[in-house]
Amino acid sequence: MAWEQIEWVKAASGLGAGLSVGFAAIGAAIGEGYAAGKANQTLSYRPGVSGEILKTMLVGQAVAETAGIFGLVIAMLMLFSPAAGKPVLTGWAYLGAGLSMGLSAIGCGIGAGLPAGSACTGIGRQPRASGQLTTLMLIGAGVAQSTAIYGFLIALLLLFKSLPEAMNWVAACTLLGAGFAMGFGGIGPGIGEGIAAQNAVTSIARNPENTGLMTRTMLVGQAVAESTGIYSLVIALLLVLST
Amino acid sequence: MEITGADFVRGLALLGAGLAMGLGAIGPGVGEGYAAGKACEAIGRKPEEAGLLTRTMLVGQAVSESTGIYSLVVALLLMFVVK
Amino acid sequence: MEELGKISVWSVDVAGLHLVFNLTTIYMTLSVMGILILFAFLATRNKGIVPNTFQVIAEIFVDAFWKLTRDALDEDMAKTYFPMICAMFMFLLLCNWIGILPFMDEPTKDLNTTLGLGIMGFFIAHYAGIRTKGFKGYVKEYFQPIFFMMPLNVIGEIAKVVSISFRLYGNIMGGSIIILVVSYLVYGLIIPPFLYAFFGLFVGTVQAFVFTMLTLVYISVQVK
Repeated sequence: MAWEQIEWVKAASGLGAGLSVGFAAIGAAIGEGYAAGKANQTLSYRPGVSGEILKTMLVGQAVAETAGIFGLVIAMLMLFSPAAGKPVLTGWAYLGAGLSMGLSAIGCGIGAGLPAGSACTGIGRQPRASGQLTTLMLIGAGVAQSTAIYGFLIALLLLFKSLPEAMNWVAACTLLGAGFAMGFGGIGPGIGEGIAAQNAVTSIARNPENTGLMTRTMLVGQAVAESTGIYSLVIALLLVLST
Repeated sequence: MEITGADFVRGLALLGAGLAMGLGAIGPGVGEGYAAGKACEAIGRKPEEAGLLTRTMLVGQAVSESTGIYSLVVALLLMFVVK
Repeated sequence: MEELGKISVWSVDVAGLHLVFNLTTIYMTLSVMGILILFAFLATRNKGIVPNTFQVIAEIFVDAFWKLTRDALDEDMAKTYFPMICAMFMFLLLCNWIGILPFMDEPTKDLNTTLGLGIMGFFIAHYAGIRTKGFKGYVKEYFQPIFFMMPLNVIGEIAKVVSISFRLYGNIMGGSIIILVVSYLVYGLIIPPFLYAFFGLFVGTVQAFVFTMLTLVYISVQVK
């Protein structure tokens, strides 16, 4: 290799930070934009409850933002941890961490935005049920965040793992593979759980007496939709812990 | 850095395991979420049929999850069988 | 963070087989069973029209799960399978909750526990199917809608066991590793109790309910 170890690690930390915060920004921005769009649409025919709708939109957007903030935290940790004396494999771990956090945040950002949007529409339809709507939206969006939390976990494990000094092709592929597994694996369940929460919030707005039944159905459906994300977590953990 | 042929195969098999599970999880996740969402909508319309709808939702989700299971099996095979 | 992924094991060689037991899981499963037996004893000791505390808790479980089982199966069959469903939920709930106590681990953090329960549910469901439809009717189900779908139907049945057990195992194990890593990073300050509340109590309850419901649904699909 023509370059020093430290340059490889620095370059990888830059690339990994970019992947992490860049991909995470996609999902958060789409989700927040969807919520804001629905809120505006509702305000056009229900200007009377603008305060309530604005509050719900902001709360929902804050939840959708969480995944983006996770991406930012991982990027900061990568950029500002000292690169001197780290083995070359750390660079591969940084790339894996960036992919894991960034990609898994896409799904969760979108997934958290969908119930926020339908909660705004629902408040326009039934202003009196706004308390129930906000609670159900927060539960649904919070559960939809769980794959982003798993992506965050894999990224942290990759960042703080003690790695062997010598460069090793198998270990490098393992670290990158863990990032891909958890990153891509977080997209689908995040969006799917968001769709489930969105429809649950819409039906509560139609029929507020059903809150208990709807919360139960939504949680069961979301738990099943999350299972492929859990398989990804298992594969990623096996890959990380085997190096 | 010296990469032997066996190392190369093993490394790419592990990378393939990661990609298999990661990409394989996207479809079932979205599909099962769609099923759950529609079940919630249907229960909102007809709360008295909640038991039937929940059961149908779970059966449908179990079927749409099978491709995710195939990904899991392939990923585990790539990790533990391909040397 | 170095203790991550390490377990205390006890290995024996019996008749040429190398058997490995996870001691933590065995101790924790036994303690959960002990607590449940004690609870059952206390709840049924002085049954009365004015119930004591334990009887009230037991009645909540029995009432809720009796309704769910009766909705999914017929009245007769519900009487047969209801005790198993209710006991399974209470066992899993306590398994998932016991991890929030210090020095305790969830038995469901081990794939062997969840896979064992999943295989048990699989056999019970298929036994129920054979009993109601007869062996011929049961086999005929696999050749629906056309005969060459048979391998896919068989794989689908096995996939159910894999999915039900990996879901519970992955959720509980992922939660406990997140708590370990975050506690290590923040030196155990402020954040871990909230994580325990979320992953231990909330996710634990939801996953125990989902596991039980899916077992019930698999039985009801077989007998319909």
